[in-house]
Amino acid sequence: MIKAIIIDDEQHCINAIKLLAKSVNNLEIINAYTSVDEAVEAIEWHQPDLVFLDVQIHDKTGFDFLKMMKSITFEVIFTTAHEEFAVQAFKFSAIDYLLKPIEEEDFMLAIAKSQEKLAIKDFSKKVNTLLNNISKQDGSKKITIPTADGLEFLEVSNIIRCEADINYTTIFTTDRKKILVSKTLKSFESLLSNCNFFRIHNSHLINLDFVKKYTKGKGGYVTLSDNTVIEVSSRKKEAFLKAIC
Amino acid sequence: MRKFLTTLYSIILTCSVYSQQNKIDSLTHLLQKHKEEDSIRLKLLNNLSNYYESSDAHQGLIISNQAIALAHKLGQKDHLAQAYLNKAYNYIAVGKDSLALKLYYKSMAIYTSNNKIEGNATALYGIARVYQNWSDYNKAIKFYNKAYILFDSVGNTKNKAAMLNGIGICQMYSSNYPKALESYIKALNIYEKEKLNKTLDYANVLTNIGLIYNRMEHKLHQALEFFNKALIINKEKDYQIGIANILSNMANTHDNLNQPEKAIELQKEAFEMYEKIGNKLGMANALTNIGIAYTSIPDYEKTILYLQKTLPIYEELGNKNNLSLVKYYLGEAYLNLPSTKSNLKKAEKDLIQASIIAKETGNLEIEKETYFMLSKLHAKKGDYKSAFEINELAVILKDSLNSQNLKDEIVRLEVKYDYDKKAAITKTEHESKQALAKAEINRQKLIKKGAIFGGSTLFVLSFLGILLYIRKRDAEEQRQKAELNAKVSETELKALRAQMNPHFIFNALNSINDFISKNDAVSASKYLTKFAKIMRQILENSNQKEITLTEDLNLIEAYIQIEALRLNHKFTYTISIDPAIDTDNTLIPPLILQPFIENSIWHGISKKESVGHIHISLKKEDTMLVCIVEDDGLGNHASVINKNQKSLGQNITKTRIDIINKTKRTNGSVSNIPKEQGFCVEIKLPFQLAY
Repeated sequence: MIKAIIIDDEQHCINAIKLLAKSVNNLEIINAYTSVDEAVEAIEWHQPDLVFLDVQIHDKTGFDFLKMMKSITFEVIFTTAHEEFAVQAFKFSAIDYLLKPIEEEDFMLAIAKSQEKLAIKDFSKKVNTLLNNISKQDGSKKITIPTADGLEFLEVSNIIRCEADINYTTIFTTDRKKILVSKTLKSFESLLSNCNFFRIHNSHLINLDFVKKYTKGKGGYVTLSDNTVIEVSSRKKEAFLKAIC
Repeated sequence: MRKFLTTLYSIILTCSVYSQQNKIDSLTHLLQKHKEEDSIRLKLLNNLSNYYESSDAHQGLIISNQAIALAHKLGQKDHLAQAYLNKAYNYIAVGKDSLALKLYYKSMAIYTSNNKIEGNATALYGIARVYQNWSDYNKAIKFYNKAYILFDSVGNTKNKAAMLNGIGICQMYSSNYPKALESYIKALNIYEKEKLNKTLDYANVLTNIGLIYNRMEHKLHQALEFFNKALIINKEKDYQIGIANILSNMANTHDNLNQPEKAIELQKEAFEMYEKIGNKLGMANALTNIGIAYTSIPDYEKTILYLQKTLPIYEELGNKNNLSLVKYYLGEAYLNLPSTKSNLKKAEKDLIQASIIAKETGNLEIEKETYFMLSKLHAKKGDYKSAFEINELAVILKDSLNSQNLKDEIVRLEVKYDYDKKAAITKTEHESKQALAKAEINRQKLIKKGAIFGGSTLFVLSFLGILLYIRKRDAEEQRQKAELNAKVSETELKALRAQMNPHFIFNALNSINDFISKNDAVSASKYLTKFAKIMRQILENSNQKEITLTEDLNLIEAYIQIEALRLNHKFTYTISIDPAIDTDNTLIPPLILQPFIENSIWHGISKKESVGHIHISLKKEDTMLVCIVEDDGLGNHASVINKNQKSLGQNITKTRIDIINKTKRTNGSVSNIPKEQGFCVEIKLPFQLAY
């Protein structure tokens, strides 16, 4: 049984989650709190497995709540209506989130995922990554990557490129590591395109900071700082040159 | 990113005389026979020094000194001026430009006082050449123009063309390619009209056009064509310096074509020829080009080796333009060597010098490239702030060099050139007829008729002028119109995509209202949350021109599901996709199929008693993506036409496809396929891949 609490300043949102939770067998909502301070106190003796956490709670935020925790021993699912920047940060840190109004299927999927994650118990690292990314909007962002043996935390600026292998993606880093992730290249593209990454080819996403040389041709090809040579799709040539100049 | 700056080139302007060893030999022979110090010997000396300029300039200087001494002795002013000119030519050939400049002015002073217009113009021309060598292009153009006017006044069309060539070179060096091309084409026209298209002067202009094309990525093969034509003429005349220049230029084109080995080979051949003639500028240029070619191999150590050799030569010659280019490439080479402190320091020093000199000479292209390189250097050093700031500078410069505009301008000029050529032919035909007519008139001595004829000629000419003007104006207008149309279509598409939103929102709101009025709160909530999710996706996608088929199908499915929910699962659906289509890599305008599916659901299936079925299939046919939306409902094509009640959504979609057809020159279409029961619509769209 997953023990969960809800932290949200709007009663109707609490009601909505409670309603959705009813139809899940192994999920129990122990309690709900409408302020951060209340919740911080309650966490101590509830020891929940899962927290549904709103981003904006009166004049505080869900991030403030996490910062106030001595140690994090629970999985977090953020709930938010539209905070664009926060969603980006969640994606980076591999922390789950639900968009309000919460759709039933999305809710079921999130609960199923959190059950898997509860087994890994990597809570604090992920939350630290999140808090790090929230405080440094443009600085050195970190990304959480689920791998076969658990989670890997990478500095975005250390990723040279990502290569697609059907539903898997291989990440190449500056310290010559290769990390295989069971996520599509598309998901990395949407995650990293704001961080100076560019998809030059159907199976290649590169960090533009590491482009060493561009050689002309139909689409041409780029040489990266680790001396890999990658073809640029002729359809992407123009956009690529625009991005790099 | 490696961007080829057009590498150095050397252009020797038209010289009135070219190297011909047999002429030198015969003149030397004559001189030995003719020892008397008279004007005949003076003429011989002058001619000889002139011939030596292109084969042995040091000997040329000795001979011209003899000529000057003799001219003083004989008091022959005109010949003295000519001797000064010849000495200046020889000085230029050995790279002593400032000494040459003094002589040009001396010569000009004599010609002016004697009112010798042609000589005066020749001296002005020499002065222009020196300023050009010193990269002071504005001054050079001024002197070329002065010379042009003087040559024009004495009817020396050949030299007029030479001045246009010089002006073109200066414009080319100032990166004003359309203007340069215009000047060259004017020059070519003059030569062709005078039937001088086998001359070295003509070959020079061909070379220069080749040089402009050499700067355009997609015109490199054309550049080689022009160079080859010029090379043939130069070889026919055995003009060594010309051959060397063209070889060097061809080498640069091969470098741009990514054939550095071929480039180095040609460049070394050119270097040997320059060395033989004793042409320092040519030697330095060849060395520079070898250095640059090594960057494409890449072998930066060799690049530095060759480039370093050129610096003292350019400094001695005061050739700032080339100096800045060499410094730029030195900077690049050091930057590409392992990033040790000393290498970075050397790179920074050279690049900063390059940017200062380029700014001084007004060479925007080198200045821009230097900034990009400096920005890279700062990034390498980890100083991102400076890197960013310098990059900004480079981008501003790049905009001012806006290549697209230049390309358009060049296309327009080419059209004009062809047209002018044809116009010239008809004009000569016309002129010969006119000559005949004039003879007739003279015979009859009917002055009145002559006046009428003159008037009609004037009329024809002004008509031609107006025609030309209209052509030019129309071309300009059409270009602007096309640009405007593209913008309008883009905006229209955006507006249409935006219109889809309210259309969809209100349909959904009606459905929610329906649940509420039936007091079914759970269904209303379910429906609302699904609707919210779909709305989010639509908002994200509707400001994009195209999304991947995967994304679009997800959206379509979500849409069908909420409609199914609303109709209490009154229908089933299948989507079949041709295995030849990679949905992740195929682009489609967002939600283009939605209105047809909506039509099937609401006008076909909702009225049916039993469970209906909607089938969506996607196929690839040649260059088209064919989508078919089909149902087994009660609606039929005829009934819809009769009632004239096509949905707003379908009309919008048809307009969207029309605009896509217009802008992409495709033939997308929407057509109804008659069916016994139900609707069947076929939507054809251009098949587009993302990568």
